[in-house]
Amino acid sequence: MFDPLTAFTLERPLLIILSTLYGLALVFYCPPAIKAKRAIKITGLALHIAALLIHSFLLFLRLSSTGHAPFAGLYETLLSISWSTSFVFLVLSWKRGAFGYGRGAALVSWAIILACIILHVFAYEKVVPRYLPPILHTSTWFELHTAPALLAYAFFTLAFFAALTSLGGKNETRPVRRSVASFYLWPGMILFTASLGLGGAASRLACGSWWMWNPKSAFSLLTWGLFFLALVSGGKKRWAKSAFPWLVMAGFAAIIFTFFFTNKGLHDFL
Amino acid sequence: MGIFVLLSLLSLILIGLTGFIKSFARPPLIYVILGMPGVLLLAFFIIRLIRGPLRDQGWGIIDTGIKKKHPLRWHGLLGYIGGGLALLGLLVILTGAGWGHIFGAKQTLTLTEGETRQLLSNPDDSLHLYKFCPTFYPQSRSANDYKALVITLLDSVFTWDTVSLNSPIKIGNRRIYLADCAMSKDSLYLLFRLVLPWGDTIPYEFPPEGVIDDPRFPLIVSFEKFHIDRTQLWPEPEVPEVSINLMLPGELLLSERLRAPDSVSLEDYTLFFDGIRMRPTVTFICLKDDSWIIAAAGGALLIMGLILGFISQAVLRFGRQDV
Repeated sequence: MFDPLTAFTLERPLLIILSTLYGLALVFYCPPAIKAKRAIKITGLALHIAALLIHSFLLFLRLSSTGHAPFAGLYETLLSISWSTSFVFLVLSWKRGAFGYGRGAALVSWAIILACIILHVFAYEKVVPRYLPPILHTSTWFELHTAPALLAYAFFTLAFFAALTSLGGKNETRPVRRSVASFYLWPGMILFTASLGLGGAASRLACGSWWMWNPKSAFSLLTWGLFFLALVSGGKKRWAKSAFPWLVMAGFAAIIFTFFFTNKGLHDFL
Repeated sequence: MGIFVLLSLLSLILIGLTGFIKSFARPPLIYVILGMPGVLLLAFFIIRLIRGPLRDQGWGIIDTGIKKKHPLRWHGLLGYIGGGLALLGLLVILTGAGWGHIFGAKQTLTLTEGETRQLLSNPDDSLHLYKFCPTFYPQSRSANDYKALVITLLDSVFTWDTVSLNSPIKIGNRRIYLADCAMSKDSLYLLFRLVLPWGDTIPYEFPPEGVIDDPRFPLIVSFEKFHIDRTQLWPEPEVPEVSINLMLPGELLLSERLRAPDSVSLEDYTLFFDGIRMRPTVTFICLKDDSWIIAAAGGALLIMGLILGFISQAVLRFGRQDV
């Protein structure tokens, strides 16, 4: 449908359109206290949906210019995380109390797209399509391992926003926000656990060991432990209720660290 | 009760930090650290099993505000089973890790083409690297895949096999993986092609110290000197050069220096020097390990537990204002 060069050339204008749409969605999600507040928020949702559709097309273009899922390298993974954050929010926006986190989702997507534009301008060598290293090119597990991880990151991002907001606000809204954080955390944990398992399967097929002690794996385990602690903590004790949002936020901080600062060894292609 | 979970997970986090700081953990450390959360999880799991039916809910996250205990309902039971399965899964994974470290065997072998080595300390088993071949993306120097043709001698049976990335040889519970490769500039083959007067072509591949002594060629070719001209800048290929002597027994007919792809002719025979082929060195990993089955079972249990926990939570709490 598109030759690789055309597909790559189309990326920059599409990124600019995307940043505008995500930015507008973010603005429309935060209306002033007027009568048409609801209509403005719905307009924000429509803009967000339009942005997601264009974003999907951008990822398709990337797929057609590289020949593999857009999970290799910082630029491609950022694009995918941005997409999955908006996707997860829009799919689950029906949940009571979840619609408000459209601001968080649009903010993350917009900030990431802006970062991608900056990469396009100042670090062109990081955005040009490149071949996968042989170990990934010959493995069917690469996409299977990465896709759930990136989706889990999206869930954790939304859980982070919900946990963060649960620290403030009125006493009666805090449990609802904690409930929303928990609602995002569960599927995130299921996907993240599946991703770790599939990564183990990929590692076993490539070099025999289902667990390799490299920085990314070790820190992913740490992240998993923090989120699991958040899931099992709580109950009726007061300390546990207050620990829950902090554990979620600590887990999110661990994700950020894992994503940016542990790309060595098996994960150095990032 | 929560203290068991807390300690177990803190131990897991400790493993993560240890692994991150050292990028590997020494075996004694593994036994101690893996053992600790395992024992704690086992204790927690047993207590949970005994006290479980008395609980009114499985996973507990947010206080429902309901003081009165009531019999376990189906969603509460689901949560109870889910929590149990998740903990059991963790325990099984840790058991798998311990099993692999205690009963597994691993050997890293680096073989140069033509070399044979003993496998996994068993004098009867061996691996011979016959040929190694990288394949490339079209119109690119980037490697696409690596393939090694090997001869294995396992359980007194010789087998020809091809090992490639992500495609190990499986023999019983032993596996041989292709892990890495390198081209040795100090160990290479010279490539020649001899065109005979009647048009046939014979290819030769020799180490630099070799001598072509073929009954189809009335002369003997010896290699006196070989070097690679590295003065040319990248990306131009480095040019190999060889000094060859063409002789009859006791008589030197010709002595000449050939730069690839030069040729030399004598009595209707033409000998082309096509270049060189670096001798590859391949790293294999030989493994005897059944722990992955245990770990996979543990992973499946853990995910099932999490899914059941999620369903239980969804039924009990999500979407309710009174949580």
